[in-house]
Order: sequence, then structure tokens, then C-alpha cells
Amino acid sequence: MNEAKIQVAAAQAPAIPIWRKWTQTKTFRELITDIWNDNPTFRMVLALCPTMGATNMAVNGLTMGIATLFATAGSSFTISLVRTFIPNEVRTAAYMIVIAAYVTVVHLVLQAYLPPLAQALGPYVALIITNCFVLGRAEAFASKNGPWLSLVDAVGVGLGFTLSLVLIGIVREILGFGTVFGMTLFEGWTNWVFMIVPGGAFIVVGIYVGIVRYYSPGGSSSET
Amino acid sequence: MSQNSEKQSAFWKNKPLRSAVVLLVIIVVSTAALEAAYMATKEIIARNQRTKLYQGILSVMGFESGLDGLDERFETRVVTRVFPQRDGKDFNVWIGKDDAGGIKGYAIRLRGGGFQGIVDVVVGLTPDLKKTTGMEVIDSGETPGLGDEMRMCYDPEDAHLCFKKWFYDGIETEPMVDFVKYKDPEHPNEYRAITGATYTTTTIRDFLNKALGIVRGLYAEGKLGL
Repeated sequence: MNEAKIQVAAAQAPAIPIWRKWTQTKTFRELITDIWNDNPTFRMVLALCPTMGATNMAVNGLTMGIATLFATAGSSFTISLVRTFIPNEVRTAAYMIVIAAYVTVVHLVLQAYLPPLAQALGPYVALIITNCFVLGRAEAFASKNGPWLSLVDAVGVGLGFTLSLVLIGIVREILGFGTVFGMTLFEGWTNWVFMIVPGGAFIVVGIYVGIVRYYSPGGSSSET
Repeated sequence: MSQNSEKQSAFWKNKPLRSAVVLLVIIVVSTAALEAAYMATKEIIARNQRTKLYQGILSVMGFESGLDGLDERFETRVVTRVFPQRDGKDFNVWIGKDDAGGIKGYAIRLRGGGFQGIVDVVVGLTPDLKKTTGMEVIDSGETPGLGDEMRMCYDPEDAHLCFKKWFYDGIETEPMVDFVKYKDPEHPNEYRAITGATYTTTTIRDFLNKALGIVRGLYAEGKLGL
């Protein structure tokens, strides 16, 4: 009788949308944690070299972020797939080879299909190989978790990095060129040259980190 | 345990051997993937580099350098002359044709090692080779913020913020091109060095003077006509 009542109650309960169900899953929580709590730029203050050099314009920051996202996601997924076969003694070398392969593919694709952006980003695309959080996610997460969760983790961190680069790029481009994503905002704008060079990036990044830490002082989930 | 599984177990326990084999497999697979990516993109990349070169040459000669009709414009306006050198490399001179069919100017390519990476620029010259008409960077592997500033143009009207404008404004090539540091040029054959990038600036000067020597010789021999 009780079972029958439960079944009737369940049938009468309003259906939960699929997207809402997904937001209650571990995958979604992991994704949001990586985008915000483990944000490489504003939380962990990592990968500042490409952040300074590749965000003079918003579109450069977006491209750099997507390139890093692809390299991180691909390498994390691959490393997670083969993690049980890699001996502990050579894991760093193995991870670097995988990461380097993905980054080189990204670089070739950019040179082929987006040559102006490839030139604007200069050596920073190749330097994704040395990006500490790419190897860090492989070491800290992909080597210990399954492929799907590793992919989600890497995508989350990559999206967080992309978001931070775009936010920094927008500010620098508006002040440096009077445009955003190439669209003129202010006619007759006097360029703030300091915002175009990396020195201006330091100021913008510092302000963002300060704002994030002030309003959300919890720190990253990997901090002890 | 069977003999095969005993051998497998022995292999798995031999850490140095297992490490070497696993690394080798990863290297081989990565290399194969990179080779596939390279084969798929190399022609497109070569075409992009050719486009950049054409745009640079047309720009330093004062022609329209937009992408629309670029190849046709280049074929119509520019003649390419190739001169083999003693070191086995080819020295290219591009000759621009004006509307009357005469010579509008020349373009030469300066390519070599800079401070950190490659320096690859095209410089335009007047028909008498006595003045520059422009400079465009085809490729640069120099340090961002330092030598790579030769590519940047923050304000096209101000040579202090747009290095190539020195060349577009016209630098006299005789007796030889030179640069000054930390101040504006005092002589018509000078340009201002990139701040903090003396090596790159020196590289451009030396490449340009060397190329000018070759071009003057070809000019004197009458080999640079249309």
C-alpha cells in the first residue's frame, strides 16, 4: 500500500527538466568548480606569461584561451586513457610529450586557418607546452581519474582560463584601442599605449585578482 | 602460470625496460599524429606565407596590398628576378611597374637569424636605390616586447610607436644605413633603434647594407631593368 502511494506520488510529481537534472550531477559541479574556484588566472595566479602577452586584444585572448583549452582537454583525456600503463618514473616526460604533440597540432592549425591570429599570438601558442597548469592538471587530476572526468576537469579549467583572458583582453582593448573585438566603441579615441604593452596587463590582472579575492575570498579548491 | 604470461609478467616487472618501451610507444604515436597534422596543413601554410610575402612587397612599393585580387595584382605589377649567389642561395629582387610601364621601385628580402629567432623582412627602395620606401615584416621569432616590436604599429602616424614608419618615411641608403639609440635621427640615413632591442636593430641594419651592396652591383651591371 505504501509502495503504491509512493508510485502515485512519483507519477504526479512535476517532471524535472533534463538540464536541471544535469546541473545536480557531479560532472556539472566539477565543471563549475574548475571554471571559478580553480580559475588559473584569478584564483591560482598561474600562466601569467601568456596572460600578459596574448591579451592586448580581446580576440587574441579568446584565441589563446581556446588553443589552451584544446591542448589541455586533449592531453588530459589522452593521459587519463593511458595512465595505468605509464610507469611513475617517466610520467612527467610522457605527459610533456603528449602535451607537446597537442600544442603543435594547435599551432599548425592556427597557422593554416587563422594566420593573422597566429602571428598576433607569436611564440605564446608554442609556449602553451610550458604552461604550468596544463601539466598540473595532468599530474593532479588526469593521472588519477577516468577519461570522462579528466576531460570535464580540463574543459572547465580551460574555459576558466579563456574567460579570464577575454575579460582582461576586453579591458586592455577598450583602453588601448577604443575598440572591443575590433568594433569601434569611441570615435577619436586616444590610444592608451601603456594598456597595449605587457605593463598594462600587469595592472589589469592585479585589479581583477583583487576584485575576485575581495568578493570571493574562499581561494581555490586545491589550496590547503 | 603459462610460459607466455610468465614472460609478460617479467617484462612488466622490469621497470627500466617497461619505461623505455612505454616512452617509445608514446613518442611514435605522437610523431605519427604530428606528421599527419603537418601533411594536412603544410600547403595551406605555404600559401599563407606566399600571401604575406606578396602583401609585403606590394605594400613597400606603394601598391594596394589587400587580399582581394592579390595574386592578379602581384602578377601585373611586379616582376621577380632571381640571382644565384656564391653561397648557393638565391637573391631575389622584385621590380615594381608603374602605370606608364616604367620602374616604380624595388623590393628586397632580408632574412636571417636575429637575437632569438628568425628575422624576415621586405624593404622597398626607390628606382635609383637611394632611399627606402617601406618595410614589412614577413616573419619574426624575436622576443615579444623587445625585438618583436619591429612588427608592431601602435600609431601609424608616429614612427616612435610604429617602427616600420622610419622606412616608409624614407631613409637614405648612402653612404650606408645606420641607426641611433635613445634619440631621434640627426642624419637622413639613420633610423631610431627599437628600445631594448639593439641586436635586432643591428641585424636589420647589417642585412640591409649587405643586400644594398648586392643590389647596387646588379644595378650597375644593368640587370635590374624590366
